[in-house]
Amino acid sequence: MVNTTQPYAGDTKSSPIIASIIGTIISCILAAGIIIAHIPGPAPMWGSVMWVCIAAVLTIATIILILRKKPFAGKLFFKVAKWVFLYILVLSGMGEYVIVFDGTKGEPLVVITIILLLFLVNIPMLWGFSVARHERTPN
Amino acid sequence: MSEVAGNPTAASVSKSQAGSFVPIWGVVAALLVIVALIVIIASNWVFGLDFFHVFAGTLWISTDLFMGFIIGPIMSRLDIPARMVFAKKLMTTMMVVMPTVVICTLTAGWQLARVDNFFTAPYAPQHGWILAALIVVALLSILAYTFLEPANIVVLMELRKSEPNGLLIGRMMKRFLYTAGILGVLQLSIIVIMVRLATW
Repeated sequence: MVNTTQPYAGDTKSSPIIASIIGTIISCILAAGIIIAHIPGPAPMWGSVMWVCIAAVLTIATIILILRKKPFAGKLFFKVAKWVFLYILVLSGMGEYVIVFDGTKGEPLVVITIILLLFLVNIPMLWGFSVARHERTPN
Repeated sequence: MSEVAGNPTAASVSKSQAGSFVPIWGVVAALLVIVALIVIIASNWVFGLDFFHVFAGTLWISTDLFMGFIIGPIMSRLDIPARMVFAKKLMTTMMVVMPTVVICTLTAGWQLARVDNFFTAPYAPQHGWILAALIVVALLSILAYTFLEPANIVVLMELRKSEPNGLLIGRMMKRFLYTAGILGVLQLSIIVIMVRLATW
């Protein structure tokens, strides 16, 4: 049974899932920063690609960690995540729109698109998890 | 029936009182604003870009400063039930206003920088200041996406329950207001950068 009579301030422990998502966001920002700092000149792509790869690995790690988390308020997680996904979809869509509109193409466009996709996956996971982790579940 | 976890004095909010998560009128207004922004970007209308960037940016900065330095101290002095009622109204509105304001500021700002040739080769003399602005925006994004908004959503979700957890709401509101204060300070550096660029 869930004990709701005890004062409960939520999950106060530091979470590897949150750390992993913050790592992903920082990696994405560094990857995008390298390209943006060189616009309109050609950016050394290896730096951006390296940070994107790190972000992708961290994203996979986050998904695995969330799937393995028991007990977990999955319903609440998806309830929040789907709405956040919609918001980030608009935000990323606007970002992609201006970048394509301004004539960015080739490798920088591919890297920035991947960064936006990683944002699209990670921000909903972060916000959904931030809510679901405080939910008291049986056991 | 269990007690209100964390704080027995916490106000009880019934499901019927909870209302919609985000006001529908707000979503419609936000969509209209975004459509207008898309049209302005497509036409590269400098006045429109300037207007969107300045208006949304000012709203963003003012909101952060107002939340961190005025609303925050006031809320910390309210009793828990009053704080919960106020937080519910405030957070619901913030869920619509802030994302829209962020989208408008960043997208219009980026396009404006392109139109104003701040991203030209060889690099414009203002290039360093543009980079500084982007670095501050990156910091703002990290703080907003990892601390501010999750705290906002936790409070909103909690307030929609029939028995909100006052202790959790208090903890999250504290985090929300402290983060808004830090963002406010960072926003002051954005003001310096933007004034420098505007008066170059």
